[in-house]
Amino acid sequence: MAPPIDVRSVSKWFGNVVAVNDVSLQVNSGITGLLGPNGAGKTTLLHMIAGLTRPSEGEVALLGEPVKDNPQLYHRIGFMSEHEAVYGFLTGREFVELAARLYGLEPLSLPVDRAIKLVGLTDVQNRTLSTYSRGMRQRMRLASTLVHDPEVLLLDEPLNGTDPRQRIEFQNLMRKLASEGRTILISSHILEEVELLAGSILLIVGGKLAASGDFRAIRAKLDERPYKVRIVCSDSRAMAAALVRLEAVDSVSLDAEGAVEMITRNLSDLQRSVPRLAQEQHIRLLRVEPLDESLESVFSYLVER
Amino acid sequence: MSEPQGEVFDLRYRHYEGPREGRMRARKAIWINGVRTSLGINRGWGPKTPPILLFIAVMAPAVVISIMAVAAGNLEGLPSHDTYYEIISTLLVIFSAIIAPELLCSDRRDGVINLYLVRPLSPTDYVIGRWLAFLSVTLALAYLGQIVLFTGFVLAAEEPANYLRDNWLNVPRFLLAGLVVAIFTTTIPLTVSAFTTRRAYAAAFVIGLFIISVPVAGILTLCEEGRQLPIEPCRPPTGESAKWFALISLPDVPIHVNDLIFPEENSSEFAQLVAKLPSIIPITWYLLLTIGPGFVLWRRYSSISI
Repeated sequence: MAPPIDVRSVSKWFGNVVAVNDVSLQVNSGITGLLGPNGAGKTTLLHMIAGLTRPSEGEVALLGEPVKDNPQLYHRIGFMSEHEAVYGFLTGREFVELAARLYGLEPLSLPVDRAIKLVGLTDVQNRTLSTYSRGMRQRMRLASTLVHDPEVLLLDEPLNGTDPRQRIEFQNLMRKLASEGRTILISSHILEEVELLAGSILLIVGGKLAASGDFRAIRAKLDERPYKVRIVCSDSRAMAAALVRLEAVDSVSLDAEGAVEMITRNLSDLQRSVPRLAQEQHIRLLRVEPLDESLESVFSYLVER
Repeated sequence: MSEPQGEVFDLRYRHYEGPREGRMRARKAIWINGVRTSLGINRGWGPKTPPILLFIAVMAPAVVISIMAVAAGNLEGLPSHDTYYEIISTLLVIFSAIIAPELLCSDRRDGVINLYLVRPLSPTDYVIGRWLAFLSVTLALAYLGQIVLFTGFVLAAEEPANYLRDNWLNVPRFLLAGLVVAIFTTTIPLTVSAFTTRRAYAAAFVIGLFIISVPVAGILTLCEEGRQLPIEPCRPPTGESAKWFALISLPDVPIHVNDLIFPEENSSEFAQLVAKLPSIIPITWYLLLTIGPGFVLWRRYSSISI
């Protein structure tokens, strides 16, 4: 059976800028977090999964069907964009009703009532959206995304503008929906948001899929992997001699330009030790750079935040 | 004695198991939303005021002519159904230029178009729904004036029954001519609106385009100044080609087709010049200026990416 979300070798470029670079992934039922720093390509990837943006290369299938040029598929998918796209002049209820009409639901009242109740906005459903707080608008948008009872939910930064209580309610709601067998993909640039919610994560860095799976397992794997770091300083030989005494360092060498290159399995230890050593040895550090940038990004994202 | 009865209701979320209708319902929803947006229905006075003012301005000629007809008791010398669209064409263009961008520009600027593109309908459904919504508004506007005019003329006639019998053909004529005018004034402003997210830019461009086309056509086609009227014949600077250059005036493009629908002769100078051309030319020109922008509008949205 095909996974609910199947992304195959997808790339997207805008002119010379590569936003998503050869990403392949599969998402199964339950909650999956799509994580990555701002500008990593999460929204572009999510738009391609939702069929809003055509990939420059590769294919996306949802529920076993191609997503592009397949409007009927949207009966089974719910997508909520990052930006607050609402008609401010409509009441919350009218907004959800418009979505229900676009999904062809008949009669409207029952699914609309349910969706609004689900997000806890029954009391204010007849107020215009322009009078809502940002968090309320987010929740009403979520109601319009859920009104047709979709099997797959794609949510782009859904927790923007919500307060801590609303976040807890949102997390409970997502867990409940996931327990019903739905596939939920939630993008976020804030690890803590997704950490409590998602069983597994997809980590996008620089348009590439840098890691996928349970984030604790990813951290553990990163700890086992060696990093290559290059240090340019005022006295490379003295620095190399000092570094080789550190337990965190596996090997040290000097490259053709005289800079120190070393391999470590404990980047966080190294980051603390290098400045201290330099100070003790009266060495001026000119540059410290990881030679495996994608891993560094993954690590800093998962460990140092 | 009966046993005490009790029931526990399941208040949990239940799946929607009702029908999921096809795309026609979604298209209808876009159409209704488009009509509401155009007319500012259920909104504050800000969005409502321009359509109301423009509506009054477009309807005013029909009301004034009808009142004059009823007051005078005859129709002698009054504009009729054949010239009505010519009278309101500029107003109709202004109405369309100001209101049409509301339908497309705002949706793209505010990202609301996402709401439609992730629903079970195609971008083509969206843009056709918007086009039909605005066509309905312009059509209603065009027809309402003619209906007011027709009612006024019936009331003004000495024998209303005779008037109806002698002039009933004007009804299908103004219905057809109204459709011609409405399609034209719907398509071009919406096409322009598809290329900008700023409503003001779209409105200014459309109004500028239509306004500029009139003097340009005039310069190229109207008689040279200083001739001794009516002794000297009219000598347009472009000579015999003037009848072609008269087609440049955009507000008159649907009016030339209107002139072919009604049997009465149009005495305006552009109409006189275009009348020298074979009938197929103004019709083809009209079709080019509606199907062409219509195609561009469709292409613009059919391949839309967010």
